[in-house]
Amino acid sequence: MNIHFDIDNFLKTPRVVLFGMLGVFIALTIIYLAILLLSKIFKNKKKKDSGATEE
Amino acid sequence: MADIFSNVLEIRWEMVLMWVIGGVLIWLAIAKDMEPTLLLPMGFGAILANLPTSGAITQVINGKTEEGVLDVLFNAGIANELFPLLLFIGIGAMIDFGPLLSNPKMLLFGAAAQFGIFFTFALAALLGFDLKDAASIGIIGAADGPTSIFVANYFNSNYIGAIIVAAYSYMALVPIIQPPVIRLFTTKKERLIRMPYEQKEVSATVRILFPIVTTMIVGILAPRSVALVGFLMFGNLLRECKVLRILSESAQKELANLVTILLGITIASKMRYDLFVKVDTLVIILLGLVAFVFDTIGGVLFAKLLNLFVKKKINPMVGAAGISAFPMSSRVVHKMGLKEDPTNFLLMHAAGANVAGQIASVVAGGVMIALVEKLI
Repeated sequence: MNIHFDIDNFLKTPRVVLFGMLGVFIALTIIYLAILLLSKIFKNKKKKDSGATEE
Repeated sequence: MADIFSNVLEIRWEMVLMWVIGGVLIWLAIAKDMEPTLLLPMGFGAILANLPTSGAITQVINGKTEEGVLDVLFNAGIANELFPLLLFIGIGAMIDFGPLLSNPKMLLFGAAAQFGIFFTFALAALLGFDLKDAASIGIIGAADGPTSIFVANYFNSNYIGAIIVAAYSYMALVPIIQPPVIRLFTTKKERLIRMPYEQKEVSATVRILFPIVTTMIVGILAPRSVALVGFLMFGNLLRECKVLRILSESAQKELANLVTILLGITIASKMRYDLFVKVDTLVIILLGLVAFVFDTIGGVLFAKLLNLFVKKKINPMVGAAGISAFPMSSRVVHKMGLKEDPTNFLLMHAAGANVAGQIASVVAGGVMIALVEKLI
């Protein structure tokens, strides 16, 4: 392959760059929200239990 | 006698160059301890594959095709993406997602630090690489060997050898690449920002559900990467379920070690001189560096952007740990933090961003495949 500037090829990429980064952010934001939700639903009971025993 | 030495006449300068490259990889692995598990098998494989009429790679001799073992292994383990996926089970079993689960906003840094992948993709396209190769080159910025292999192989890139060499070499060079870039894009005041770590207990249920839920979310949003993320998370589930300790240990040790041995030497089948000794290879290796640099810039600038809106300021160096090179990147950020202020411990935050980068790089690989496939 000869290295050369290929503007036509380059002009196809902004959509991939934009939607690619957007896609990664969307996926990770959803995982973030899922972790928050899971952490809220399944709080660590260990501390509470040990607290109860102490009481 | 002439028959015995006839092979000597088949030696070409490009082969000798590949022996030197193989030797350098072995030297880096042994003397410099740079990703030795992969660079050493790759270095030896590079020599093995570039001996004249090497029986280790497929040759046509007297009109008859003789299959070489490296090509057999390539078709059995890489062409069908098996080896990188199996390796991901081991990696998943090794990773403790605890720091991320106790501070999940670090996921956003993982996302931001994938910028280098897409920037390099655009740059490679500008330099005339077709979109499939440009995507495969960009994915060096995933800073994650199995993902690079997966994507480059998916697109059937001819540059897979150079891409893998670049990906693993730069992962080992993270402690050299990242600090100057981080310093260039941060002020001393920013590097001194303290981030006290509040350790939150993460319940066992959350640890178990996390790999399952993540697989489902990524599988639905980026189905192309579901195999990668699924195997990574399967490994992590083996670790976190606590009832398969032996399987988890086997995945971390025996499985990961066996696959790594085979992966390294098999990649060498694509390091044949006719595929490797090209100007393109040098350009790809340079583009790989660009990918790592812009990943770092993406993470740092995103942290600075967040600081405009949040009360508890984030040390922008933590953003740089969002690249997937685990655990090198988090160590680099931690050390840089200690250098600025010996009482500022950034390790846990950086580790959170770093494991987030592992997930983000896999997602980025899947997104890249899905988007580029539509263009070709």
